[in-house]
Amino acid sequence: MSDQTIPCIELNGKPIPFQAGESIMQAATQAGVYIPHLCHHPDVSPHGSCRVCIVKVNGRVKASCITPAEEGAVVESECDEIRQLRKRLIQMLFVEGNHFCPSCEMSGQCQLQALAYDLNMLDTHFDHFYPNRAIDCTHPDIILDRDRCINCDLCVRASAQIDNKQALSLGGRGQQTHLQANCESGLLKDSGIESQDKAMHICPVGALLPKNNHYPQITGERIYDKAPISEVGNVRPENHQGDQTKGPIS
Amino acid sequence: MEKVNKRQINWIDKNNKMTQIPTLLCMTSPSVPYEIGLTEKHLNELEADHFNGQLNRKDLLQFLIAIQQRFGWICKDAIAWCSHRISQLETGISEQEIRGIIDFYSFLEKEACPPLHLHLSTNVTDYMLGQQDHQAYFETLAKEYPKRFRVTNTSCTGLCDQGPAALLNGLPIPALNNSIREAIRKLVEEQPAKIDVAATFPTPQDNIQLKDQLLNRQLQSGNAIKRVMTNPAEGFLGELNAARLRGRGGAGFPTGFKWQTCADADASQKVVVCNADEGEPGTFKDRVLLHSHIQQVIEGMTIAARTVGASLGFIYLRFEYQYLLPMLTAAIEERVTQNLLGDAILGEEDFNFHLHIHLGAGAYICGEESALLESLEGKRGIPRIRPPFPAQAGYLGYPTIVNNVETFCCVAEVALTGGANFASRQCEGSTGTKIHSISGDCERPGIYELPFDTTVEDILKLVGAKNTQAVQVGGPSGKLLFPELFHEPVNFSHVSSGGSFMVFDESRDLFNVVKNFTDFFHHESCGFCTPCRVGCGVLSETLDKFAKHHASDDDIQHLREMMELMDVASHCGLGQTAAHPVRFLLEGKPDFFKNKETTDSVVKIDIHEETSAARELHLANAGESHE
Ligand SMILES: Cc1cc2nc3c(=O)[nH]c(=O)nc-3n(C[C@H](O)[C@H](O)[C@H](O)COP(=O)(O)O)c2cc1C
Ligand code: SF4
Ligand code: SF4
Ligand code: FES
Repeated sequence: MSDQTIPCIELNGKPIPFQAGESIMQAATQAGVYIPHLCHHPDVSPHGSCRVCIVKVNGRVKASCITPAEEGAVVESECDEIRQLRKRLIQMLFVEGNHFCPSCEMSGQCQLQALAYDLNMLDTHFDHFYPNRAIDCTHPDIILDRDRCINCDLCVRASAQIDNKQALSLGGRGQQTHLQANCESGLLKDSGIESQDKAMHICPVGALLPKNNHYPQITGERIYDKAPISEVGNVRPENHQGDQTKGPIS
Repeated sequence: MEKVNKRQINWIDKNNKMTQIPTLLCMTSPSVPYEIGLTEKHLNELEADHFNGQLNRKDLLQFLIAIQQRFGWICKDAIAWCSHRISQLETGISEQEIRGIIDFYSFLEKEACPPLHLHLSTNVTDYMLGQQDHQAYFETLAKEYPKRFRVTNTSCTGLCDQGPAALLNGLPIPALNNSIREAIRKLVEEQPAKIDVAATFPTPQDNIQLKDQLLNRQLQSGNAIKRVMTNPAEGFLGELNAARLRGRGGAGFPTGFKWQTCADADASQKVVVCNADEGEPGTFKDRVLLHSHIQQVIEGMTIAARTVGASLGFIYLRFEYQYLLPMLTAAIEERVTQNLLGDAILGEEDFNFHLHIHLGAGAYICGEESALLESLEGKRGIPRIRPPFPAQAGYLGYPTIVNNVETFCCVAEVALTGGANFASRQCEGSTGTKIHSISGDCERPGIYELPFDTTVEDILKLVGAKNTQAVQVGGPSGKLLFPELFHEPVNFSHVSSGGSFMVFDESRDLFNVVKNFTDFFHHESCGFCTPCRVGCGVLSETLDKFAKHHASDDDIQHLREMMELMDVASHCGLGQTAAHPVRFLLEGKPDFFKNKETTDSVVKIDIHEETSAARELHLANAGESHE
């Protein structure tokens, strides 16, 4: 049983130690357990918006990335009920935007797509919204394709907390919520964002993309070609190096 | 100012010219000659008059509202000016971020707007009183005079007992009828520089039908505070707990517990906020309390300040209620001169309380207490992650208590007559009385203060409701009740309510009622979390299918799944309750959905209509590439 001094939660039947102030997500990651997530990244503050990280805590549904771990809490992250709810959330993210996976450069490296596979999502279930969203190609090195943006705010936080730039933010309300560049023109080229910024590489989908270096990972070498996200979910796709010799050279 | 001038700002840019809207006489704004463009001078004056000569990040929303109210919209140059003024301080903000804030709030406009703008209320009670007819009339008028007049819609304006209601440049016009329509047409045609709204249009009425302790109370300013001051500050927590007071804003949270948390917090500053956002459709009792019982409200807030050790306070007043601003400001100023607000209140050292009024700008979510705090800080109203709770870390990180208007009136009552006395009027643990806003199909809509043992049936008798099919208690986020449950009392243990009570008789199609509520949530979702942002859209679109008789059993299944998901997975109360209207009707009277399913095995679609969006897009794109 758990040590006197180290508090533990029970995650999927196994004890997991945590330190005071840690979230369930942090404790799980420390212990090498993957809880599916999209708006969470260990290097920036939590957000709690995508809700893909829902788990059952003592029988109640909670977002694990913003729920503090508490001694003795019984947490389930992979029960049927949670997986079904999670699948619906992923489907909702698909119908809300315009995701055309076959032509997307991030196919095979995209966490949204990988979760859809992992949850055995065979269709999008709900009627598509087909929103009309603007694409921003003004930057010499970066493309923002809002059709694929899931409003997860990761790039916003990375820009503020890691790059110290505050180049991006979310604006608007409701279904009109959109990612925007913080500058007078509202265009990426004037925002100060650069291709080596963390904000550029943290996107869990294919909304923020580098220009001039297309399809760098060849099919078969992409992170989720090698293993399903349930096995490599805690490896950040941006750190994944496939066999570069097999990819097209930019 | 030098820094601002470094960048070229074209004030009299033709496309960007802002026109002074007619001065509305019951507002506090100074009159500026009609038809002049907004200039830098106006902004400097506004800043000097209301913001101590330096616009801060946290004042941004209030500043934008001031521009909106004086000039009818917020032009590009004004946005640039705000960005440059604020960026002189350490926390800068770009023009685009300001546009993102403007887009969050329904009453702020960043595109040119005609000088007269009418917002027609879209609550279901407005439609029940014939809103559609007025909508059609004003849309025709707007087509006739597109440069002078615009009509759009807005969520419930808090005038459900005197609808159909509208706002003219932000000021309320209740009980629309033909002569009011003609009066508005005359204004559009004649374009006067000044409009005396109070003389031209009817003003909102209190319409109090039944009074009890809170509404009967005539408070002599300072009396409740003086009673409290005979004991040390913490002493009042005991009274509150003895009163077993629970919040009147909807959630029924124990007030004593919230205050205790804040009082226990160790901080250099603490804050007391009165939640006067009253956004729940069908609720209008806070408007009446602010109008006719403001002394009790402020006294309750001042007692709160002393009890938890706060010296800063805000009334967060919804945009729709800004017509009360002059009166509320006067009440605060009078109390300052009486030493009932300000420093060393009534001579007690360290008893300081400075009270300000902040306006909302059209966002139901800003009634949620943590979103309200974001809005007070001048940001988009996105609910915060909890913990920490506002009572631990709220406005600018200071421990903050947020309470409803009516809750503060109850606090004053507890202070005057004692906690035990307050608790002596109770039913199953709900103590005191509750003020209800009653509207819909009944003879005597209005304000009723009732004890907690009053049943739904009792209320229906009181208000003269006949052939009642259903009642929506607690607003769209509350419950839809059918006759089987009319014997239940409206209290915290049975049918809990923040004060909205809408009656529907046998003639109403409850599907339309539920669709109205669902569309309301869709319009008001803040967009932060997936279940609510997308879920509200799925619900609305699915109900559209039923309305067109295009739906099937699958769609019922979708509704059920969405109800379940939004309930458990949403970030805040809005998303958690947004599917409740659908749930109550689907569980109570499924026939309202069943009889709208398609009867054909082949769904007939109008191919022209279904492809119209694609055609428009194609045309728009073609237009763009030719430019
Ligand atoms: C979407 C949403 C809207 C709300 N709107 C209001 C409101 O307009 N007025 C209000 O007093 N409380 C509102 N609340 C409840 C507040 O969050 C908070 O519980 C209340 O102001 C606390 O005051 P009380 O304890 O005195 O009731 C709302 C809650 C939610 C989730
Ligand atoms: S661009 Fe990517 S990282 Fe940024 S909000 Fe959109 S999905 Fe998230
Ligand atoms: S539930 Fe709705 S209103 Fe609340 S945070 Fe989520 S999107 Fe915003
Ligand atoms: S990862 Fe927890 S809500 Fe997005």
